[in-house]
Amino acid sequence: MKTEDPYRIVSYILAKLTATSSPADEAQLEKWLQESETHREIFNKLLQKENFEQYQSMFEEHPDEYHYLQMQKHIKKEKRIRLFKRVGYAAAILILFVFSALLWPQSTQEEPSRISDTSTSIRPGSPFAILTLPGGTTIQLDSTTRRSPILQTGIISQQDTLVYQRSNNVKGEYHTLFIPRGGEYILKLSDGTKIWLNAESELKYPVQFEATQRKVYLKGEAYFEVAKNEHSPFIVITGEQTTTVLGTSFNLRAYPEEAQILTTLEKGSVQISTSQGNTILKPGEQARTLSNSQTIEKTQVNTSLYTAWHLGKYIFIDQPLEEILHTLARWYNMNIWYDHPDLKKIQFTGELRKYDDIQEFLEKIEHLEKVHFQIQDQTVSVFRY
Amino acid sequence: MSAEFTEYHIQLLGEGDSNAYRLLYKHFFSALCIFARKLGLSKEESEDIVQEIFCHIYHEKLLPNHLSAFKTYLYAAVRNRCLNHIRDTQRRKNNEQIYNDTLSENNFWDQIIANEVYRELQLLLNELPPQCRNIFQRSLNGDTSEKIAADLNLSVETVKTQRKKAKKLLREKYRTLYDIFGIML
Repeated sequence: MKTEDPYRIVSYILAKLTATSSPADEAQLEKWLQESETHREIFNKLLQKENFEQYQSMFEEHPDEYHYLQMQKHIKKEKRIRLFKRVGYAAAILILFVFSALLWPQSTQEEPSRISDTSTSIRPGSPFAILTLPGGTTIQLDSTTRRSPILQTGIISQQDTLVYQRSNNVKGEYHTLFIPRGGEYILKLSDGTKIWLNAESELKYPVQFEATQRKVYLKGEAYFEVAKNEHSPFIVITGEQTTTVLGTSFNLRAYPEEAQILTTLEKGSVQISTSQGNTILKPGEQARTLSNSQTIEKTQVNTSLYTAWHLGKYIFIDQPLEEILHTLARWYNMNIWYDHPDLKKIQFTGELRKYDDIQEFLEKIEHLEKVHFQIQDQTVSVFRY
Repeated sequence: MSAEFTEYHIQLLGEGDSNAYRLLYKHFFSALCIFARKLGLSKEESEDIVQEIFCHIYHEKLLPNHLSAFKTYLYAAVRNRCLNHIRDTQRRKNNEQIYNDTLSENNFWDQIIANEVYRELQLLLNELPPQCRNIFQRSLNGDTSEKIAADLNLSVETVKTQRKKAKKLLREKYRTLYDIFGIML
């Protein structure tokens, strides 16, 4: 049914609502109203000011500017990946030339240190986060932030931690803390729960929890130390997975691009559920939820491998190089390029402190004489040794 | 008065113009989220769906070139994705009523009309200067100039002037919005 352009009807109704209609508009509107009971119902609903007030408050809940900026970030990332691929190909060709040039004369020179440290612009991350308030206002937080005039009373930023004190803050108000690549931040919520947020992660949480449940939304990785409260379960929503806890310590890794969610439990117990079912974890267990099938697999793991980051360490045991560098790339904000895909699968064991220079770690791996690294600007290139 | 979203901007969108893209968000993001929520989605789900659609638009070169068609394209995209989402998350049973209502073509147009009226009204209010906006919102609620003047401690004259100003802006807006000549003059 497209007897009348709906957008014209909209203009007639608008004119009526704002008392700017001409006799012709009035006649058209009247005609439309006579057409059906439903039309009259719609019109009467539109006239009620409570309905418009409700619409206005919903409008405020979806700030367009914030989402526009989020999308810009996403688009920039996409462009960078495309550019990086192109640069990668160009670099590969260039390297081929350089190598043949080097091989041409007799290569009797002494081998220099294998990591070519032409420029060491790769630095470890630091406490850094962006806090978004309900109106879409954003506040940058780093180790120098004490108290921002925009922050309400009862919210303090100290060093690397954002603390929400129990107060009479507005119920139902949500804040979002976003941690970019190369950042980390700790959050202490009003109920005493402590959350370590890793690089490239985002947590959305209420300033003041409801009495019956404590619900937060996570993208990326976080370590939770949930304050005990039997009457109010703590719920973490990550994509399709819901994790319910009463009081416990666990790590959640749910980076959208990794196509899986890893839940690692250190203490207490948690229940995780997806559309395909649910399971309860005991300490030392890890659940792997696959994003596409939403099935949950449970295994026994060495939990410190998955939780050490929040204590300032990275530990890897027999992990493929690709996973190791992928994890480190977030913290050191670097790009990785592989000369050959097979290199990604080589397994390594190692440990590094988060604030150490990445170069020392890479050198240790080089000693095993399997791979060779080259650092240029923010990019680490991996070659066969 | 800030920029209107016109057919020219649809064309610019196809060329990857970032101002047009910003304007698309300003004019449609919040309203489409509300549209999705009325079809039974949560706040987060509705935002995800609208973001997906806008991301698609960013890469899409072929967009409907009439404003009405473009709006319908947006609403249809939201509706279809909502239906898919409700089906995929197996919440159809709980939302059976909404699901069936949404499938009906008649309802679709009616839902558009309801959402568009408030969308236009909200955008209009956002564009008015604060005092003008305050007065106009009160007059929408049926208050007389005299009552508004008393409430806001202003002279009746000031209130009347502001109301006239709001109406003038309204007329200008409509003229660009609808190619119906002579309307409201």
